[in-house]
Amino acid sequence: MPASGATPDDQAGDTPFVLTEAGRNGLRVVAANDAARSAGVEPGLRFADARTRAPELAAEPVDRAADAQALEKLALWMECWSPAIAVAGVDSILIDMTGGAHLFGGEDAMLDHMEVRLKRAGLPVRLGLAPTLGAAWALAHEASGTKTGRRVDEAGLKPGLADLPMAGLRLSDASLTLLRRFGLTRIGQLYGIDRKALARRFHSVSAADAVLTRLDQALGLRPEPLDPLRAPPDHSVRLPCPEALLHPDGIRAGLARLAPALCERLEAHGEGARRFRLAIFRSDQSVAAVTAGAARPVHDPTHLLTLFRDRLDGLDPGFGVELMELEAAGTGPVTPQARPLDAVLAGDGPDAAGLAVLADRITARLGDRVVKILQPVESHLPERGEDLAVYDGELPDWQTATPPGPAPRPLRLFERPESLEVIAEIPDGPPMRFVWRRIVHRVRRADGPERIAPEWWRAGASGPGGRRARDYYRVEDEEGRRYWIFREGLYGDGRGGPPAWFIHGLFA
Amino acid sequence: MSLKPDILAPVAGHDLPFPYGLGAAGVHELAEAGFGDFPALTGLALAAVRDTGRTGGLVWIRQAALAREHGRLSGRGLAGFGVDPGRMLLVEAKGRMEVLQAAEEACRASGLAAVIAELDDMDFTASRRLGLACEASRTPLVLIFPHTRSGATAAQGRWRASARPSAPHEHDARAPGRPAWRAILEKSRLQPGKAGRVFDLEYEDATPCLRLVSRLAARPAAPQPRRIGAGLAGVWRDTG
Repeated sequence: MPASGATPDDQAGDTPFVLTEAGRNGLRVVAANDAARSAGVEPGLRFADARTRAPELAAEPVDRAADAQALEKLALWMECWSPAIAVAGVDSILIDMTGGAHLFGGEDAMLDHMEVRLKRAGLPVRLGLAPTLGAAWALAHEASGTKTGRRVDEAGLKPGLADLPMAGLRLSDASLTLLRRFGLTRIGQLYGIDRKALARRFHSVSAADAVLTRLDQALGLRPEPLDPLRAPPDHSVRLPCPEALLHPDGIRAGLARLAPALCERLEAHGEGARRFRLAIFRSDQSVAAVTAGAARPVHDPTHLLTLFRDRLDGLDPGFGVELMELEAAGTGPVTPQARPLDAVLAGDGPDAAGLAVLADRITARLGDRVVKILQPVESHLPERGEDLAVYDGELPDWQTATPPGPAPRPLRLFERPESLEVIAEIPDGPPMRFVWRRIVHRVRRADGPERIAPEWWRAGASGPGGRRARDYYRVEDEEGRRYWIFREGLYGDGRGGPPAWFIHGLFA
Repeated sequence: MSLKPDILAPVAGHDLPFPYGLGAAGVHELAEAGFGDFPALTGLALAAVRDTGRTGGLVWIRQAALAREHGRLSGRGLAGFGVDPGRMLLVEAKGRMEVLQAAEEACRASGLAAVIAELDDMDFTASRRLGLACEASRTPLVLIFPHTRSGATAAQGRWRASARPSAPHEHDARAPGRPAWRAILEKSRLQPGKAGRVFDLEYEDATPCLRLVSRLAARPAAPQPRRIGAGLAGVWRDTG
């Protein structure tokens, strides 16, 4: 099932070309094109030696990060063959094609298709297709030039691998050297070997185990799951475009056809989805995608189109779109649209489904995570007593929340209390006047204090000043504006210097 | 939605629980009289919306810059003010345009008790557009502006409001009393002749229901607010 392809170098042209990397003993060749290989330049050679073998050798330093990025980008584009895809090593892509080859006209036709598409893009590629990951790897990396083809089936697995070099088993260099010392160079030589005897020859049990594990994995005796780049979606629908789409309107039209198809499938499963992803596969081996989210699981095509309405502008068709894919994730049951009649008549509580739809419409226009709710939290500290959480379709329950206590709480709260300069009549009394944001406020009436002790059971200090008790006052200035201010600490409480004053909220 | 009682009809201001239909269907503007009255406007908008008695969700849209200046809404404060924070959605918009977009979407939705938006300014076209959005759903939209707000508007009216020193607390003369406001009807489409009038308003928090009352006896010229159930039993004074 898995196929793997090797990718990297710029192999075009007849000039020998290598990529080099600075090592401990100077520059070394890490990759060479065909012209360089025919001149005797192999990866691992010192660059100075390579120069003597091929005097006109061109070289560039290798950029491994960019290589890895390009390989991952290519892997994402290869999702047009299968959603289960992974990157392995520096040069390989693993694809799980289980049950998918017939969509491309059989296994051989699919391999041809892949080869043509990748070669057209200027990427030299070697393909291998086998029932196990390990075997596919061996075929892709070591089968060129041998009589084994690029494809083996279940029955041909053991004989197909027998003649391949030992390096096809993905072993460490030390293990390969050791095996070569024993005279074991072909994979087939390991088939009939006495496993205990082999283990005794290795210096450690784990090293011997690694060899046998790789062998078992290649032969399908031990499972080796593929760890895909992206989690496969719960549902997906595809729209191949026989003629590449060049205009953004084409994408819009394509989505209008994909959305009902996906919703039909969701509805058939009796569920809806909360996250959607529209991917376009361009003809230049690149993929672009936009995502949209709903507060509650939905399977309504018009609502789905609303979610994507303002986001399609970010999708550039580039040199043409060959395939569009719409995926759904985060599936769950769709809550029925109808509300019980008695709730409507009584008029109690908001229409939760209606609010969720509205939240989606606003999110679609403004961006993700803009619609929030106030979630009550069990804490005495005002700044911790409630949480501004992203709305996810569930309204908070404030009826059962702890009441705020007898003293009123301000309508508006500052995220962090702001510092004040205060003149108080007596050291532990309410202020007479205070300066906030450089304006002097004369206090006309004051109410308090309400003492809020620090939460000693929590690790670490919190807020300005940390572990001091706060005395909150409700004060009104001469203009009738009301403030919630507090003094942190007391004189002589042994927890720092003189107490400090802060403003924490504003009353209506 | 048609089963829900439609308490308010946007007719002449005399029948409305709040003067000149503030909080009833349509767009209403509240502007600060001076810097620092924003929390007072917050309370006034909530009181007006609460007093219309409409059920359903509440959408509060805020502009990031104003939220930094004046703090965010507090759930426990709302609960103390008689508004259930469990039915409120908060939308955090970055700029003025985002506030207007979100407000338009919210006004088109049906079944909301009210939409309240804080923003720094808007032009006439925007106000007209919001008015059209509100028309079909009959959702009240209250816009809260800083004191710099001026210019033409297509809203039902614009109030310029400020906090007012409160009466002494019943039980403790040194403590602040009930919240009080002074509101000037700057513009009114329903009653253009009443523009420029000044209203002194006070909040009654002895019962869970909000009401707007006056400390003084109502003058004969003052319109009377309509009662809603047993809770709303207030009068307010028209000093203009």
